[in-house]
Formats: sequence, structure tokens, C-alpha cells
Amino acid sequence: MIVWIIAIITAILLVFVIWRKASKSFRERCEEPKFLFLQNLGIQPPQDQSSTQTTLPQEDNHDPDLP
Amino acid sequence: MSTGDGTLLSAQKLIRAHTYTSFAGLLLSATFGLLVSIKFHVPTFLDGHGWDTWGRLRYDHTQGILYAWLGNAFIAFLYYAVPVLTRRSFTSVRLGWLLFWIWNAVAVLGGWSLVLAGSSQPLEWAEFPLGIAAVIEVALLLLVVQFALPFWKCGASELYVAGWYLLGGITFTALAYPVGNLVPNLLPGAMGAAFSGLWIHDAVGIFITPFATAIAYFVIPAVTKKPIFSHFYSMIGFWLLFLVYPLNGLHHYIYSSLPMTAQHASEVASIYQGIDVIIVVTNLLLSVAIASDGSVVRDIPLRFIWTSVVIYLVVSVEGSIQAIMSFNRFIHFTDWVIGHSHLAMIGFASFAAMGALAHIWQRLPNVRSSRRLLAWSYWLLTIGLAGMVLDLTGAGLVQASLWQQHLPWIDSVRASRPYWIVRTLDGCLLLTGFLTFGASFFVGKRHNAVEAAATSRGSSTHAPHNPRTDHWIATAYTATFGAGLLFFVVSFAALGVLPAYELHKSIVRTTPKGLRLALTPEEKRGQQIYARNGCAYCHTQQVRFTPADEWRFGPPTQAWETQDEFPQMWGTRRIGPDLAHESSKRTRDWQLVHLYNPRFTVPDSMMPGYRWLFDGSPDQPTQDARDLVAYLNTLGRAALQTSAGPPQEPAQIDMHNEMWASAGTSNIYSGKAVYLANCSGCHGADGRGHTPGGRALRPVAFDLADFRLPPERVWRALANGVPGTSMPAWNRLPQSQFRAVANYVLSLPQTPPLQPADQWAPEQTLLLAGKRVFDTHCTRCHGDTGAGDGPQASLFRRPPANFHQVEVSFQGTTYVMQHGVPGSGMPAWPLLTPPEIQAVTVYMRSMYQRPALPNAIQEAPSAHRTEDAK
Repeated sequence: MIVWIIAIITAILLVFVIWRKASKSFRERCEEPKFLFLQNLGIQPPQDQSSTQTTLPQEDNHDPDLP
Repeated sequence: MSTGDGTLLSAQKLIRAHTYTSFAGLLLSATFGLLVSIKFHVPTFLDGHGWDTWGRLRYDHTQGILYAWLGNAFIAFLYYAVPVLTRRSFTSVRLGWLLFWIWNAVAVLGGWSLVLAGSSQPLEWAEFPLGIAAVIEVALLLLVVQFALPFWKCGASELYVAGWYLLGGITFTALAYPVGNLVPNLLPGAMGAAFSGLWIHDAVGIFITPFATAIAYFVIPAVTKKPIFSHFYSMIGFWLLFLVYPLNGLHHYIYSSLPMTAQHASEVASIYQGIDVIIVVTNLLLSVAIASDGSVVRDIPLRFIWTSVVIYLVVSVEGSIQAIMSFNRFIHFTDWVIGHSHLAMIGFASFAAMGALAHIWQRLPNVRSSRRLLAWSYWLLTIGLAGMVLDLTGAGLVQASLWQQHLPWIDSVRASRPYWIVRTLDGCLLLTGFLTFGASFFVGKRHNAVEAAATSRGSSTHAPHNPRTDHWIATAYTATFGAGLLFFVVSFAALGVLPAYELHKSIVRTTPKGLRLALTPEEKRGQQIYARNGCAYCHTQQVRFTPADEWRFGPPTQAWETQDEFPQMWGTRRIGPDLAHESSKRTRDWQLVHLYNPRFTVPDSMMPGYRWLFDGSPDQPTQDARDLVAYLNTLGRAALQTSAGPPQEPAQIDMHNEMWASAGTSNIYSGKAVYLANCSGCHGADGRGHTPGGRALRPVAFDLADFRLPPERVWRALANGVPGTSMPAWNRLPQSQFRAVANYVLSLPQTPPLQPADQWAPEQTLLLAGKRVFDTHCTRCHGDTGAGDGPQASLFRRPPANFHQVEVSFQGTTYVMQHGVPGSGMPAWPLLTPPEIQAVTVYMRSMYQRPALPNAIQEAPSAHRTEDAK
């Protein structure tokens, strides 16, 4: 039974991971709460400081010309 | 829902109130812990009353840390964080104050007082009595009302991960709390233990961890002013935590009689949990690493937080390893686990809570704070914690190693003493750190700047949302949270209900017929006394299915054996030996003397005395002491009834071969060391048995110095104990020590002949007079020839002395004539005059037939005397 429970848990989370990989919209949207949080604290989010930045997570927010 | 500046002011008052009470709770709880620690190496410290006994202080220590310190600190954090996270206020200020007073005045103060007064539960992390547990459950539900509503009104797709953790923490704790506090009172023994195991872990995993992790996710971006590394992976960590953590609980009862499938399940889930923590901590540390403005070094609250995050990783990986069965077999029940729990509760949870309080305090108006004192507290606590954890980890390894070896239990207690002293020193450092931390909130510069974040209502300036994506994310997150609730119920079923059901079937199937399992009213009262004084926190009542346990304690504990125990007292730590088979091991007298003052029977014991259960001396027990001993004598009674006799003692010694083979090789001086460490409690350092413990036993401890026994009897007594007396078997001593102490005991008797100057009359006259005295007073029991076979000899449980085998000294006979041998058939003969005593002694000595002894033993007394003369 426990194997099934852990397998289901893993499957649910894998669905999220695959969905994130497949959808740019999801990728951006699921990172947005962290920027909202900074706003709530009265801190300017990075994308407001520079219009070139996006709401992508840091791991995606790198210069494409760099390795 | 309250809004506006009035609510903000009230929130600040509530934050201050909970912060102040959390300080008080922290200092008192840490003081309880320090007192408990001191009692380990000074067991007579504060041992005169029930309220200050070790077990009750230990209960208040852990419950105080959980509710008085961390509970208040987390609630203070909730009042600060929830409005920021949801842009909504909490439900009600009035409810806030009601919650404050319920939490502190009723739950914490009430719980502490009742525990000290002797009303408690012997359940790990659930020690407050049931009435207080009900109050705490009400308070947890009020927490849900106070803080969950703003979260529900906030869109799921917009909720920051710290909010998810807080929402999960308050919801799941309210659900999990009754599992460990109420259910074990409804289900006995093994079945109740399954549920206790769930709560032991849920208290940390469902209550402590979500709040501490939420604090990290809140404070790190607030200080670095940069978003966390990945919100998506922080959510993955969140879901894993709540889906997997409830499955861990049974790893506290590995190798027990719980169903093996459930044990394996908890092992697998624990390893999986370690993977989750690696994801969470990586994300948090990468978020810290983003900061490039020096805030990580400069900001002391953040320093507390990232230290907490690092320790979270260490303690979680350590926990996963501990759950692996092969490692658990070695390390379970040792101080290693205590080091692990201190690392979790101080290094992870308390550091996070302190970071949060300091962070909030710096943003409150009109308060003082001292950065210097805060920095000092950080270093004091870090050094103290590192010292304590390293020390306890080392102690655990030593204990585990000694428990695997065929050595007496007390050896592990002796070996632990230096570690326990160091632990106390570390505890002093920690208490100083806590005091410094509290002081940092009352001194230093007063600041007036109000952190505006709590009231920020700024609207999002992000790119326009895709409503379809928002909808799906909100639906998925809400569904997963619902799945979390469902998985919690499933875990409750998989690791609690199902094992309990299987155990019930197994108990019905395996319980032998015709056994006496139910306790008498006296035994039940004894069980309650055992429970409320925390005995289960040092003595387990479960022999595990491991070779080391079976060798030391006998057959493993079967589920049916504890089917009448409400609540279960399996225990999770062994400082003293397991008591599952205690009924077959000790006499009632020994138990009473040991209870009065453990050092009276076990010289190196660190167990606290329970003098307050006696009327001034060990032979005057109160009804409570008698009931407690009556309960101890029920432990393993049913199992004993199923076998022909007591559990087979291991390591039986081939007496004849060993005795003669080793007589010439053992060291009489090392024998004295073994004797003083193990035997002097009852028999006294001089062997005469005139100690308080020895004289309180029935029969009193044997006088080894004035009565010479045949070597074979000495060896047999050491190897097998002496039935009908409190003399236990010592066959678990290493053979070298066994031989040494046996030869030392054989060297003790000093029965020199009478010097002519001391004689009342010529020897022949004394002999004739002695025979007349003996024939008049002694032959009914000792027989005409002094062989201990008189007509009334059979009336006694222990046969009268056989003077052909026992050589008596003049000093010893005089003492016995004056005092008798309490607990045997030998009365005092106060009317005998000194010349009559001398005469009968001469006569009895004339009967003695000295056995042929090896040279080494014959020479031993002189060696002994030479040493004493020095």
C-alpha cells in the first residue's frame, strides 16, 4: 500500500514538473507569487527595476549567449 | 474581518505579547532541561519531592519547548506574516487575545502545573494530561479560524510558498494532534504505539517544520530584497513534505512487534523525505546565495535563518539514515537520538523562530533591540549546540557499542557519565545564549521606523495573466492541497488503523489461554505512578527483535503482552535497562530499596531516588511505593506464565571448570574494583553488608567478611543468583571480571581464631559450654550436628546455615546474636551473654570442615589485608 501511496505522490509531482517544462505560461505564472510577495513587502521586484527582465525563475533567467 | 490601523496596532500588541511569553517559555523550558541534565550526573540533586523529580521536569521541558516557546514564537510570526502574505488581516483581534490567554494561561501554565503535580501522559510529545490536550486542540482550531480564512480568500495561484506552509501547518497540526494525544488512550499497548509513533513525528514534521520553513521562505527574500531561487521547486518541496511526512512516524518503533510492512513503509518514506529536504534546502540556500549586498553576513536574523536551513539539511539526512533498519538496530534508544532531536529543535526550529522574532522586532515601532547582544547570542547558541550535539552523538556511539557487547548494562551508564557532564556545560552555554537573545530585545537603541510592509496593499504590476493558466494553477494547487488532506487520512489509515487492525487480529490469535493479563487496582495505581513520573522515558518496555536485545533482555515483546496497557509505555529511550521482563528478575525488597535510593543497590546508578514515596527509610514504603513495585512485578508476568520458568539466563558459567581453572590467574585487586562497582551497594565496601540498602533487604545482605562460604557456593551465587534473596545473577559480567570478583569475595572473610587473651575460659571449657548453648537454642533449626537440617529447617524459604560449610567469625556471630538476620528465620538472641556467645561460636567453628582450596585463593586474604593495611 505504501508503495502505491509514494508512487501516486511522485506521479502527481511529476505531472507538475512536466507541465512546467511544457508550458512557458505555467513556468512564468508559477514563479509569480515570489514577486508578489516582494511587492507586498514594499520591495520593487526585479522586473520593475529593469524592463528587460521577466518573471522567469533565476535558473531560466540567464543570458542565452552564455553557456 | 478586522481592517485598518487599529488592527495593525492590535496585531503589534499581539506580536509583542506572544514574543514576551515565548521568551519566558524558552527560558523556563531550557531551565527545566538544564535541571534534567544535571540530574544525570548528580542524581541526588533536587530529589526530595515528587514535583521536582527527573521525569516530571523532563515532561515540562519538551512540552514547554513545543508550546511555550515555539508555539508562541510561531503565533507571533503568524500575526506579522499573514497580512503580508495575503494582503488581508487575520480574523479577529478579540479572538487573538482569547487565543493568547487560552494558549498561555490554560494550556502552558496549566499543563506545566499539572505535570509537576503528577497529572500527565507518558507519551512522547504528548505529555500534558488529556484535559490540557483538549484545550490545545481547541486552540489549534482557533488558530485555523484566525489565520486560515485569509489564506482561503487569497487566490491559490497567487499564494506565496511561505503562505502554503503556514496554511498547511495550522491545518494539518489541528488534524494530527488528536492522533498522538487521544488515540493511545483508547487503544492499548502495541496498537496505541502505532498512533503514538505517528504523532511523535508529526509534532516535528507537521507543526514545527512548516513554520520554520515558512520563516525561511519569508525572511530570506525580505532581507536580501530578491526573490527566492525557484518558487516552483519550493512548491514541490511543500507538497512532498505534507504528502510524505505523515508516513514516517513508525520509524520510532522499528524491530518492534508492529507489522513489518508498516515498519518498512516508514523506512522508505523516511528516505524519501530526505530527498524532499535536499530540494527545499538547495532552493533556500541558492536564494541566500543570490544576495550580493553583504546582508547575509550583516543581518543577524538572516544569519539565524540560514544556519537553521543548513541544520535542517543535516538533521533531515541524519534522520533518514537513522530510519534505515540496519543502522537503527545499532543506534536506537541511545543519546545519538537525543542529540538528533536537540539539533532539530534548537538548531533548526529554534534558530528559525529566533531569526523570525528578531526580524519582526526590528520592524516594530518603539521597541529596543541590540545587534551586539543578538550576535553574541548567535555565537553562544551555535557553539553550545555544536558542543551538545557532538557530545551526545559520541555518547550515543559509545552506548550503542557497549549495548552490542556482552557487558552489564551499568557499564554503559558509567561510560556515559563524562558525556553527560559535558552536556550540562553545553546546556549552560545554551541557556546563556537564550538569555542573551531575550536581553537583546530590551536593550539598545529604540527605533521608531514602522515597517510598512504589513499594511502594503500595492497592486501587482506584473504582466497580464493568462486567466486560463491562472485557473488551472489554482485548481491544481487546491486539488493537491486536498490530496494532501486525503493522503493524511490515508497515512493515518496505512500506518495507524491498518497496523492496529492487524495487531488486533494477531493479538486475538496469539494470546495464550488462561493467562492473567488484567491488573489489580493496586497494580493499576502503580502503573499510573510509573506513568506520571516519567519512568518510561528511561526504561523501555519493549524488547526488540534484535540479537543484542534478546541476549540482554530475553524474548522479544509480543503484541499481546501489552494488550491491557492504557496508554502504552513502550518508551523511546533507554537510560536504564528495559523492564519488559522485570517481574522475573528482582525481589520486591530489592525494588523498594532501589526505588528509595538506587545507589543503595547499584552503586553507579544515575537513577533518581524516590524518597518521597517512603516514610523515611527503604523498609517503610508508602502505599504508592508498594503499588509501583506491584506494577513492576506485572511486567512480563504473562509471558513468564507461558514458559516453564524465567527466561534462560545467557552465558551460563561452567562453575567447576572455571573456578579451578581461573583461580590462580585472576587479579585480586581488579576483583576489588569490580566488587566496589557492583556489589558494595548491598554488601558494603567492607563486605559486612551493614549498608542502608543491605539492611533494608529481606533477608538482609549477606555478611561476606565474617562468614566464610565454600568457594562453590560463592561461584554458584554469582553465576545464578540466590533464590529467595535479592542476590541477582552476575553472569553478564565479562568472564575476567567474574573470576576476579569471585576470588575477591572468597578473599574477604576474616575469621581468625580467638586470641588467648580474649578467651573467657580455656578452649575445652568454651567448647562444652558452647555445645550446651547450641543444644538449647539452635538445634531446632540448625540440627543436632549443625548441618542446617533441624526439625524446623523446612519451615524456612532459605535453609538455616550449615556450619560444616560456613565458618563463622566471633565478630559476625556477636552481631547476628544482637540483631538477628531480618528476613530469614534467624532471630536475635539478646539474652545470651558475651561468654555464651563466645562459647557457642567456638563450638560452631569446631564443626567447620575447611575445603581444599587452590593456593591462589588461600593466599588471597593476606593480599587483601596487605592492601587494606596500606
